[in-house]
Amino acid sequence: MKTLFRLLMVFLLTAQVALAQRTISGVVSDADGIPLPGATVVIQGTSTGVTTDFDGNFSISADNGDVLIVSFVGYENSLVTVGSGSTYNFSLQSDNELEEVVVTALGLEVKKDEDVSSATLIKSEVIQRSGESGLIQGLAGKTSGVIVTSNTGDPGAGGYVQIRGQNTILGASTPLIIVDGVPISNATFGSSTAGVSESSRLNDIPASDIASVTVLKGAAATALWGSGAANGALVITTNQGNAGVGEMSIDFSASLSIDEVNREHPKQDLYGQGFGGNWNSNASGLSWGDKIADRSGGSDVYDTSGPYFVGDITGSTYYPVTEKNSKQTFNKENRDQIFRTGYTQNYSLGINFRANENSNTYLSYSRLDQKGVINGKSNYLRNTFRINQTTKLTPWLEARINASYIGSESERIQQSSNLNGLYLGYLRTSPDFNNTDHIGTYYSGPNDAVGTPLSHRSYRARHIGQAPAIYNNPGWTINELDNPNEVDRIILAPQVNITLADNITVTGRYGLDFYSDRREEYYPVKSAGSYTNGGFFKDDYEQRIENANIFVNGNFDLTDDINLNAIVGYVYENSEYYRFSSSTVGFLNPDPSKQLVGNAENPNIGASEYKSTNQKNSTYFNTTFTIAEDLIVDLAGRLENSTTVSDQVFYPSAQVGYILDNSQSGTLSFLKLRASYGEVGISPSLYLNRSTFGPSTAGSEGWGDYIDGANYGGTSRRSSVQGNPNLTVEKVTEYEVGADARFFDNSLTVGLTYYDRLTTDGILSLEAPPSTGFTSLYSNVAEISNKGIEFDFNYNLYNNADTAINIFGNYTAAENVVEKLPGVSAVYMGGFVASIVEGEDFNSFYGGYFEKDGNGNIVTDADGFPVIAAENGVTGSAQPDFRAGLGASITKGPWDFSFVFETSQGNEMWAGTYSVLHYFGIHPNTAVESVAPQDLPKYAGGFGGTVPAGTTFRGNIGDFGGGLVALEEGWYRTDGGGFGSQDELFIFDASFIKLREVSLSYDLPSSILTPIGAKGGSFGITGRNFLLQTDFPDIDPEISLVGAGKARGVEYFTNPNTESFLFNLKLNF
Amino acid sequence: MKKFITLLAITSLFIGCEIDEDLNDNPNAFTDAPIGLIINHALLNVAAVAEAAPARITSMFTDQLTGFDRQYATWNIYSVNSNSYNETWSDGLAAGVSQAQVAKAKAVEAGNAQIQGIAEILEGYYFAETALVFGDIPFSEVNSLDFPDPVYESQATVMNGAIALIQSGIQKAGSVSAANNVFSTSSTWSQIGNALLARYNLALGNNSAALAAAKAANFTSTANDWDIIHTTTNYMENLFWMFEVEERQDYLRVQNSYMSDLINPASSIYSGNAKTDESGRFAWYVDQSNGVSMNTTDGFAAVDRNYPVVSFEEVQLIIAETAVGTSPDEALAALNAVRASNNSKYGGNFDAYTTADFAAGGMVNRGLSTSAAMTMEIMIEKFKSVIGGPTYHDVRRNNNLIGTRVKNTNTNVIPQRFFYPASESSSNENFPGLIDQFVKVPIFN
Repeated sequence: MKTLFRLLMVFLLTAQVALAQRTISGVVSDADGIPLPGATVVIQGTSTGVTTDFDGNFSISADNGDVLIVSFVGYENSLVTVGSGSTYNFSLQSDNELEEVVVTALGLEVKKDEDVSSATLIKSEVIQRSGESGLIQGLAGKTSGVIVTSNTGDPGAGGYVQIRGQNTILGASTPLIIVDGVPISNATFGSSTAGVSESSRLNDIPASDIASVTVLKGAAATALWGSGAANGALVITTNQGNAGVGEMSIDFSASLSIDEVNREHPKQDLYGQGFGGNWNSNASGLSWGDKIADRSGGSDVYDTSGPYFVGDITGSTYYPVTEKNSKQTFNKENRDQIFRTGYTQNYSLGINFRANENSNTYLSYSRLDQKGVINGKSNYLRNTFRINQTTKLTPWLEARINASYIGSESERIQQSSNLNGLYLGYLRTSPDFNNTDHIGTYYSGPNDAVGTPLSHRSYRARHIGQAPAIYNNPGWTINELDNPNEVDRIILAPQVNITLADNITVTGRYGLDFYSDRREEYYPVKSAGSYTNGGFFKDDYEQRIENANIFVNGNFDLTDDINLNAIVGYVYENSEYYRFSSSTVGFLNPDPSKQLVGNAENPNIGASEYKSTNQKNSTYFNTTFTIAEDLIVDLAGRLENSTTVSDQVFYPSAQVGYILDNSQSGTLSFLKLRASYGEVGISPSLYLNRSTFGPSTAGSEGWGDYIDGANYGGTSRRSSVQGNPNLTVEKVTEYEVGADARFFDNSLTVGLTYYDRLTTDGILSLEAPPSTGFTSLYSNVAEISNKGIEFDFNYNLYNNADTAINIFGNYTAAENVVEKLPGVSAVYMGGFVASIVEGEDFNSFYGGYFEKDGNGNIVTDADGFPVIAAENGVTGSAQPDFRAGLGASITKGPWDFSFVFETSQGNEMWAGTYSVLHYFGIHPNTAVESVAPQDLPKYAGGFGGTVPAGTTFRGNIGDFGGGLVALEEGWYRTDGGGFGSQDELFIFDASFIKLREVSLSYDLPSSILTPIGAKGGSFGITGRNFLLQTDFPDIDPEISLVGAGKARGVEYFTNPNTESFLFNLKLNF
Repeated sequence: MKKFITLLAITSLFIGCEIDEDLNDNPNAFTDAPIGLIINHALLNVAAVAEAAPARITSMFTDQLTGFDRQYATWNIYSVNSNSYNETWSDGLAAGVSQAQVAKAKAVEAGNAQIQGIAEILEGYYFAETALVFGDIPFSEVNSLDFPDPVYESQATVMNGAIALIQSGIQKAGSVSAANNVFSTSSTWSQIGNALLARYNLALGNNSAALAAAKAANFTSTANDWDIIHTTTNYMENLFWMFEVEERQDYLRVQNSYMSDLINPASSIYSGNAKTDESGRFAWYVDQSNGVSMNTTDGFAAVDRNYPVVSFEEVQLIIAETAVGTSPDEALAALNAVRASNNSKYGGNFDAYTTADFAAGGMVNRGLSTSAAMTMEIMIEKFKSVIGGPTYHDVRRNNNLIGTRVKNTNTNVIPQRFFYPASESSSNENFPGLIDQFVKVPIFN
């Protein structure tokens, strides 16, 4: 840093402003009198020009008769001929709204018309209108080329965002996030198939602080960030305190959202717990028992001579049932135990203030308080503070500091493939078991006076809480487990801007993003799984991202026709990560009121940590030639050093744009063609360069049973991963062509882009033959292609003083294919079934499937049941044929109505929960009766046998092409259910159409506003997610088992998504 | 412009900035480890090969145990594919052989002959156990950076190579006690090595070598068992217990298995007789409170029950089997030694047999010649007393002499081998091709 400051001083000393001739000065402001800093004042026909300072002031040397042209992004030019006066003030009229801008990778604004990339800007109000509490979720459906998915509906749950396709197998797939010019963390830790749905650092920035989000999709647009920018970038600007001098403007908003689960799994209530058609309370959790309607209907017969359980919730006493007579079912009680109506309150207060001409201040506070749709401990509270202060210290030195603090705390619910998961216990519960009393006192018999309090009663073989649960009672999961999470985050972004000459500025920028994320998981004694004697786990994460960036920006008229804007800079990036974890298993004192690390015998207390530091430094340049005002040539490059690559890597880009029509009126009002080439990359992950030695375990880790060498005097083994010191960067190259056009007097705006990108040297954990002593080896061998068409339009259909109708939409058709995957049949990407396979879509499913003959028909065995292939194969793809968004806004007087639909078509998804609920006999598909029209074979791989003709049986009649067969318990409990050897039957089309949001708002009249001193205000209602059309069974196909992980289209007992109605009030003072 | 170019020149000075390469030296992991820890891993990993999934799979195949729930229900009827054995293969070669070889190399470097010998015995053990279930496997090209695609060598070559390694190991470490942090035993490495040699020679059909080795092993009681230590400490527990109680309840049962029927006094094929009361053994295996689950309280799957990798019973019954033809008295003595041991291990009653019991009209004659009847009783006894791998090898070697059940109607034999794993077929250019699981491995053909 010292070096940087020294250099700054050099710049300052060389700065001299030459003045001669007569000096003309003045102020440039907008129609409301607010000064416009950075406006250009040029003498016509010369290259002499200046830009206005922070207060819109300019001074320029000019002669009488010179014509001054004043221009500013988003405003119409203004001209004046210099006369005798020396002061000229300009009031610029706002261009029509089509004069859009976008923000570049360096955080600089350029006019959209002059931008030669495919970048799109999304305005703050569009994001805020969505009613989503997460910034990322608010981008869904708003522009082409971007996929946004919520992981679950849990409060504060992270989201997944992907720009264009997947480019890497092992590297990160999230875009670079740049706020006010500096990159910040975009991490989501913990994307496994169990645990809780974690929050994401993308959720931290409140939408109310945001001025705009520019989506940089192409490699050429992001090449300046080199190996950080392969997945595109979201360039966010925050509010900067624009107000009149000496004035203050206050924005207040409050919203209340009412949230409900948007789709629930159906459960049958016709058959009881058990198997083989008999009721059995000790039946591995199956619901293949007796037909409830056939029971006698009297009260159950109990064994009151022995152990019993007294529930804490209702006070009821439970004895073992010896004869099941009751016809009562409890699906509704069990459902109501876990779901509720969720509420989200969101408040924000933003103050824009200009104390004097040299100071802009933005101050804000926001509070989001969310109570989830799941009963018990599901909530999220986020407080944010921000101050953005810009001060002009001298005429040539401007300093800015943007600082924000985000504090959040939440309680989360265990989910997914997890014996302590909510849905696992809830959905598998047999319909004739009432989960209400999940906790109580177990008495071993009539002589047990004390009993065992805090006992856990659950449906699977623990009807009287006699032992730790096999699956948690969902009441236990949501009430007795604790999964708190606390995040404290500070983001600082100071910047100095030095004007060295009229056309040369130097910008020095530093960014610090630091946060701590503390997570706990507490499993009280008698929880299911590995923690029957209690388990307490703490993970403390810290991440620190630093960024120092200095660049020189010069603008030169090389000839009358050629203007050059040149930027040269240096950037240093440092990322540090730290995690400390402790585990305490098998509590000495079971009291759940105190959760203490170390409450166990020594061997059952553990600790671990992980730390890493990753650095890059790079020199970069960006030169933009504007030739005869209609040809724009942009050349850029970055020379990068990074920790994990031994050689320097150069990332070039070239972009060309040609404006064919700039008439701004008529049928064709504007037309620009553009083409670009860019290279970006993904650095290898840290520490893949050497084989390591570490502690070991032995057993069947895949099944969960193993012994730990630490208990046996300590063990160490060479890792199964072979280190590779020669790894290099994964290179992404992209060609892009496109056009931006406007029609009908600028009322219809259309953007069209085709891109073709290829990742070469993709790093792959090559499956090494285990006989080599290693099971994997990292290597730069894979190739991934991405091709697509992106189309956006915006049509101002009708516009007069009182009424405006606007429709907008976008369409994306993309192909993301794994071109080369040498030496590997498939690489598992997570979520049980998602894998990548050479020649297939990136998001393919890979698993057991039915053998097919040459005509694609299923090969059946002698009985007519399908034969399962010996080796796994591709069973489907989560890649859509296309995605599209369509929306409209209609303004009539004070009323404003808008909506956005989004659709994804042709994508498939694995219905993990659905498949397993067939196994358990819970899914209504399994609770039907069929009559055998002929002797029907049962599955030989199940329990075998035949259903005689004319017999009524529980199940379905199937035909796989080899004649009719009985799909009964034996089929569903083996290969016809979720634990069988095939996935093919559980991959479904997951196309959907979703009404993302629909909102109606009303601008409050002055009769309401004036008495409270407000200048403006509105009241609105928004509905989000509440219309969903899909053929996918039972769930919202947008949830994700693996959170922000790369596996797409996978779901397994994942907590549900939500729909909401939202009321909001906005006031401006 | 000049000013700008000056600034460019200054900025370009940064190009020289280098990144400290040490940052990529993993601060979270060692890049080397002491020999003691590595050999200890090679010992620990025996649990993965002898006790964990392979023991469960082989005992489902031989119908000692029953796969009842979830994936084990399909495994029970042999519905498996090449993905089913990835872990078993890796445990044998990557976690087993290779780590033993790393330890051996370090021992050679350090001139530590004893650890070298132990490493060789373990290396031989992993090679032999992997070859026994998979057939032909890589041998001389395993764990060498020169061979990214190791070639497969014949099963007999691997078995003989493994025997040579064990013999070499006995030379170096034979006098050292085989008890350590992982194993509890009164045996020396010479005894353990010889017990393994007996097992592998038996599999190869070298009966005289097997007999000699079994005798040399000199297992006089179950105190000689090579036992993996288990206690109630978390992740030190018996793996059958952990599988059933903590991880996968009801996946695996004893219910209605051929073995359980043989020892269940209520069963129609109960193997008890006037001299034999199997109720104690039945209780040892089966949870008497429900009659179907493994006994996880005080039986073979109790939480702190040590797991025998090589047992007194196995060694004695190898002596018995290989001596039947040449020295029936010796065979009978070995069988009766096991029965005597059973008395104290299980309770119930196991009176000594006499030759007359095997002759026509004897209580264990089973309509066979005396010698065949004795072999049959020896094999049935081994089936009831040795869980997992060794029994699976026996059933395949002698064409299911004891007549255990085939649990899938589409086949008349139990699986004769494990499928080669998908992890090899997809990554090894020298992969010989998938072989069906019902095709015999070469040495049993």
